[in-house]
Amino acid sequence: MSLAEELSFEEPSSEGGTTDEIGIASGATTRPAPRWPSRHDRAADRDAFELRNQLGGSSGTTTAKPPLESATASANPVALPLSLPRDIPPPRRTATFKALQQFEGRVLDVGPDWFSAALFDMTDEITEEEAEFDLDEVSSDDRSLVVPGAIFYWSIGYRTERSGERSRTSLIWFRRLPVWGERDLEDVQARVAALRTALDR
Amino acid sequence: MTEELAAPSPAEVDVTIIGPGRGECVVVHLGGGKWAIVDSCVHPDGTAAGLRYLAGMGVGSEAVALLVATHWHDDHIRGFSQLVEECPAAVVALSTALKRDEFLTLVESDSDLLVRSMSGVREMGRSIKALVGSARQHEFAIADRRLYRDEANRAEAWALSPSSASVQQAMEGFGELLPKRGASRRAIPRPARNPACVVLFIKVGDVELLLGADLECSSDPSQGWSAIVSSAARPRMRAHFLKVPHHGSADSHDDAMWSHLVEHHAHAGLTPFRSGSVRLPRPTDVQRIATLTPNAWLTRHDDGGKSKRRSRAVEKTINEATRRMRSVSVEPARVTFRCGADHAGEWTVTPSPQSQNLVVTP
Repeated sequence: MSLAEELSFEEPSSEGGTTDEIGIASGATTRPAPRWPSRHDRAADRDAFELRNQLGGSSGTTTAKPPLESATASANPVALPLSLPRDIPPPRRTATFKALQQFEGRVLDVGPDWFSAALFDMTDEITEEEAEFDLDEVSSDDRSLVVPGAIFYWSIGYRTERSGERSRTSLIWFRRLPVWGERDLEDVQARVAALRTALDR
Repeated sequence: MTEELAAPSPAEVDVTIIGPGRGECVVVHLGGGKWAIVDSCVHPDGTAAGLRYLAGMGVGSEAVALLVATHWHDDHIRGFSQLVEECPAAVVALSTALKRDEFLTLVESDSDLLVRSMSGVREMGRSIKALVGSARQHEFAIADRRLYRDEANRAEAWALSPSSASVQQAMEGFGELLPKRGASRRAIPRPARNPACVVLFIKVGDVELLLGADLECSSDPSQGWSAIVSSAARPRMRAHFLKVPHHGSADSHDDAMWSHLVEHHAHAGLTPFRSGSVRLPRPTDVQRIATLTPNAWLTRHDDGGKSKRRSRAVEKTINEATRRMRSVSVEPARVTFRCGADHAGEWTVTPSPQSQNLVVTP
């Protein structure tokens, strides 16, 4: 996984998108995709297939959201369509982000105005650290997701505006994990029964 | 750099406490070249510290006869699945609470979450699956159950906890973490308390060891240290060595344990615990323990957990974005206590340079 991954930020456009969308320049590498559960892969593949059918094949610049895993917005970055149809103008590219350092985090504890987290260095795949953050470091959209056990990603890098202005940036975004459904819980219980049987053997 | 030792003689007891600052492992020579490893922590390169200590003396993993995971907190379990996989001759002992459906549900509900960082429940899940996958001999530890016996070397190991009441309390704690329909998935967080951990009594020849795990006190006399002290079914004992429970915290201190189960001025070892603003043992804990015995050693007294060096731009941003950050991938420090199996109490101590003999300060 390259450290010099370049992401580009886009302005919202009438074709859709929000201010927190991160666009990926054509041919550029996306942010590192987290690994996904196979069951969710299948759901994401299905969603991506349906989305691809709705949009039709094409070429050009693509957009991708930060990893979302909710049932309504299941999205596997690998499986998402790589291009938008020709009749939709590509979103305007306004800034790029060059990542210098990336972490995967797991929230350990949450205080009134802080949270602590275990961090895994995705750059060297070995180093594990712990850090304490101000809650202000998390966007208001993600604040409700900051609970013990929540998974997030933290990128540090340079953001370069179209004007050429460059700034050091710290980006934290939380994984939106799917909710537990009845079927999921039944699957878990079936695996528990198999494990208990093996332990009792 | 910690000095490499020669392997102990067949009739020599070795108790080595390993602790990097967040993590704990205890290695015990059971006599006759057989070893026990209790809990696990890892070196920065990911190798299990217990196996590394043995390898440094030329002892292979096949010499490990007993593996015990006292509980599933990530500071005691890191690398335990590696031990299960690499010690084929070892009996593996886990708390009986961990075979209950409540805990196995936590294991299975966490296993779908493909994240890279280690967590206690994930590592315990890997260990359980390695155990059943290899059809290994295993024991579920509950109070007053013998886990290991070697008549030739006059060695035995007993679980002194958890009590039935503690297992029940642990189930209630697990219940709060179970997945619920409609709730978002998440990694299983580490619970604050651990009532179902396994305290061990090990006897080799005439030498008696009490390994206190992370057991804390309880207001319920059927739980915690009160339950152990008052048990009529446990072996009679006066330990010559104590692994101080729960990193020396005040919550784990029990006067009756010190006065009824441990020899006066017994040797003792403990590991530090650093997480966020929590640092154990606290200065008051050090004073209390040093007052009870002048022979207590902390594996690592320095912070030792400085963050990895990174580019200036990254370090500046980390400093701005965090209140504090520290590495948990730290070279473990250790203290080795040895004495003859027939010379209980006559210990020689070999500490790491980072280790500290706890002393009373004015």
